[in-house]
Amino acid sequence: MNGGPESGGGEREREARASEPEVSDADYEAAVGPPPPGPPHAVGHVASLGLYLLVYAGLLVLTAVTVLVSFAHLGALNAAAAVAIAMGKALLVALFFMHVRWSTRLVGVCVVTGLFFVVHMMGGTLQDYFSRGLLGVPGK
Amino acid sequence: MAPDPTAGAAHGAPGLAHHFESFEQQRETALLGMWVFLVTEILFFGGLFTAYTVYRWQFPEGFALASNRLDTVLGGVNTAVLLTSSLTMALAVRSAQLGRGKGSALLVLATIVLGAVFLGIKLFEYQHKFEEGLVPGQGFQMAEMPGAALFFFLYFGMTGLHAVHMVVGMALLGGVAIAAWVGRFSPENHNFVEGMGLYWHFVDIVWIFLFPLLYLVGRHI
Repeated sequence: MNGGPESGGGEREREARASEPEVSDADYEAAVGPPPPGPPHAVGHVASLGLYLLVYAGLLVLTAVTVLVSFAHLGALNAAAAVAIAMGKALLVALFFMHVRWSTRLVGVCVVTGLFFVVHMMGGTLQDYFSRGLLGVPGK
Repeated sequence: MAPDPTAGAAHGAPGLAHHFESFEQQRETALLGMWVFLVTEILFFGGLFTAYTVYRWQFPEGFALASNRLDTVLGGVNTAVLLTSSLTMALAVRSAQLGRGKGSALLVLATIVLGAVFLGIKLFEYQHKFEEGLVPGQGFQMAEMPGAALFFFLYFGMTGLHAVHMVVGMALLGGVAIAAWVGRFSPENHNFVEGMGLYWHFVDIVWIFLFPLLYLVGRHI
């Protein structure tokens, strides 16, 4: 829309001011001291090789368990067991390989939100199918 | 809380975009973006998993008989291959965190190779399904069994969609490997590696669910 509070010249001034830090680097260093010496440090948590290998071993074991359980006679529980073990594997991958264990709460909210909507998509759909024919009315 | 001593001094640092105050903020932003995308992917595959749930509930026998036509050994081997590729990818991110560009590149390459092995085995499986007449449509060999065609629609649809995701991932990982090899990443900024790591782990998680739901139905019968 035209006729805003600033003209083109005002916008350029705002950008020039925004690209300068509010406090100059020299003043900032004088206030808090120089950055710590040493090689550049990793941002984010660095997990040990051992932990990754442990999680990997756990994933392989759970895969073997999944296959073995599928040959057991559990009736309706077979499907539930398979999904439950898969969820355990997914949890291991998410928490450790995907670093959710050491991530911010915002990331956690993101993941939970996704699962929340999947649960409702499946739940709502199944509730529809499971309740068909319950009323004894054709088409309901 | 004490101000981050690297924050102000980081302005203008190479690898830090001007609109971020610190490398930590830049990394969190990049990864959050990937997570939001992965949430859409969860819903994307979730729709197919919902369809699977409904039709497996409606046709338990058809699904069991159809699932028994799949090779559990090949499926299990593929699961192990993909889990290993997730390990190499996690280690690639770790190498990038430690500033080891070439090591990271080699681990990403290993991830790509393992992905190729997975796709090769899948191609072998698909070929057999074509030869055995288990592709729904003309010449489908289990047409008299209700639900069998639905199972194979879901089998090809879900593993096919998964394979497409893998191909896209492998292509992008190729870019990551090259960039890592020539030293484009640092311990402060390796967000491309970590973001692609999240994507690859997600694709692995989808397969973690696909394997038992497609290959292990009614195996106890």
